[in-house]
Amino acid sequence: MARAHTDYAVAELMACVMARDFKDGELGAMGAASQIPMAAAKLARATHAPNLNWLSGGSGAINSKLPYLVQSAADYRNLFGAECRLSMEDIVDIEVRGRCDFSCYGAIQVDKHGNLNMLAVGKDYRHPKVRGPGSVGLSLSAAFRRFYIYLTHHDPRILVEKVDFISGPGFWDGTPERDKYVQPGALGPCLCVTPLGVFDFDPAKREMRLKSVHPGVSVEHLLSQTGFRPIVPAKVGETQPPGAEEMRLLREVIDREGILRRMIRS
Amino acid sequence: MPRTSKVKSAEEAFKVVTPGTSIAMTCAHYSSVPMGAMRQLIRMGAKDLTIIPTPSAGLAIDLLIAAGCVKKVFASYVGLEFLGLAPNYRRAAEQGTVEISDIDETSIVLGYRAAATGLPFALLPAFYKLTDLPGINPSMFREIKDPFTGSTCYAMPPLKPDVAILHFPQCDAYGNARQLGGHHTEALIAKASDHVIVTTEEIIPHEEVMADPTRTTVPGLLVNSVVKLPYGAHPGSCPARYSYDEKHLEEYAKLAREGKSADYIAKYVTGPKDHYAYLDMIGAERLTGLRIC
Repeated sequence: MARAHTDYAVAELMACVMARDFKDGELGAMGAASQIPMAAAKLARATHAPNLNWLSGGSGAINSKLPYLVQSAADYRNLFGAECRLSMEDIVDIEVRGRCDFSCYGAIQVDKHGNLNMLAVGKDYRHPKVRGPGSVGLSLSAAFRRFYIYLTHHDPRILVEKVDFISGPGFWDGTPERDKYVQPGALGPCLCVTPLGVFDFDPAKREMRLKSVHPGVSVEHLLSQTGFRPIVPAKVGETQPPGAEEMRLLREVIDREGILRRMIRS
Repeated sequence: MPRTSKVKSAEEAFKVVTPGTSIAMTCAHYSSVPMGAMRQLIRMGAKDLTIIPTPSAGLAIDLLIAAGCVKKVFASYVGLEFLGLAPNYRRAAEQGTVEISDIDETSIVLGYRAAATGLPFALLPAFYKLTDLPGINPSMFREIKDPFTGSTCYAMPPLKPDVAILHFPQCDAYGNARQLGGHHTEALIAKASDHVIVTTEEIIPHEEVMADPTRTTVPGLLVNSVVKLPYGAHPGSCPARYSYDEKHLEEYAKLAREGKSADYIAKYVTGPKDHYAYLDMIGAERLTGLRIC
């Protein structure tokens, strides 16, 4: 196995965690400002998943070969080397119908059941403390086979016990009631990847469970930055750092301009 | 008898936007956003507008709100993407000075599709029950029963803008327009709207359209006016022509965050007497530096 890399940025580690979880032959959809998931999709294709198909958001590009990352998934340049251009209507049809294996979401609030809020923070919807940008494609979390949550800030104001409003349902209230209303085969959230660690979901309780902390991060510190008490197994592993080949691909092929390196300041 | 050109001046074409008009415009984040048209609307004193956007919008709406042109926004995503929240939209929402009707990507597309086909409502899947959208916006989301199976689904009124404003790299004098990048529902919006204005980087000869009609993505038969506005998406991008102007967008976002959008508007929107004066102010070096072809 390749030697672990120590000189990596946390966004590069997050891209590696997500890439390793994408399966060969799947179809993934990336939304706005998706630098980390786009890098992950390119990394997965360059390693274990050459048959992964991925959509670069608003550009409509399927399997972009652009040899650098751009700030926007909607950027025209993402059509470079792509196989086709899907229209927004095509994208909605494909996504709502339930043809996508996964998507990757951020949010202004995420709760322990993996519900996502992009609408507003505060109890009064008409006069919120923070007005978010809106629900966009988050309701489609109930149509994708599974979805990843990725956050560029691990903060107790973002990772909360219960979101103020639901834009994208995760496991809802944790009861099987959710299963009646999702599209067939929509399994819910699978991982939540942050700058401090990785959560998965306990299948029985349908709640976030700490899977690993990133190298150099303690469980106590992560919990102090989390606004709810996740399930913490007796033994919490350390996130596997990027390998030499993963780093070579990220630095020399996928993100030559260092967008990931500049993204998250620790 | 010769065929009638649809080419008009910006002043002439945008007269149809009057107080209370509902408008839709192209964009996917910064791509194809008709900013030249938005600056023209502000200079003409547009007010009480209802905005029906695309699934991913922000810059145009934020600027129109700062200029006091907006009464109501149907919102799917209103933000500045990699530059964060849209500050003027955020303030207006938090203070309740602009009415917001929260919908989302799927419902915008299906709402336009219902209007395009002339259907009484759009049909939406059951999963909206798991979101707060029906609760906070009951005027748009009504739970209904599938008449065939009895299962839950939602109905939403069609999205039928009075005026669509669509920006393209190329269009002929009869309104046959070519999108050369991502298709961001502009063809659907054209079908859903009562009146369609195309702004275009260049007006191409009709012969060029006839030579390759498969490249026409919005047919002229849906279009009422054509306005030539080179760099008409700046500081946004125009597919196959130029990229977004990150430096200018950062200046916009900074002033907006600081509550100084009035300064931005005075400098870049109402200061220049028209679109070409704006381009002169941005400068040839900056504009040509954004070219991607």
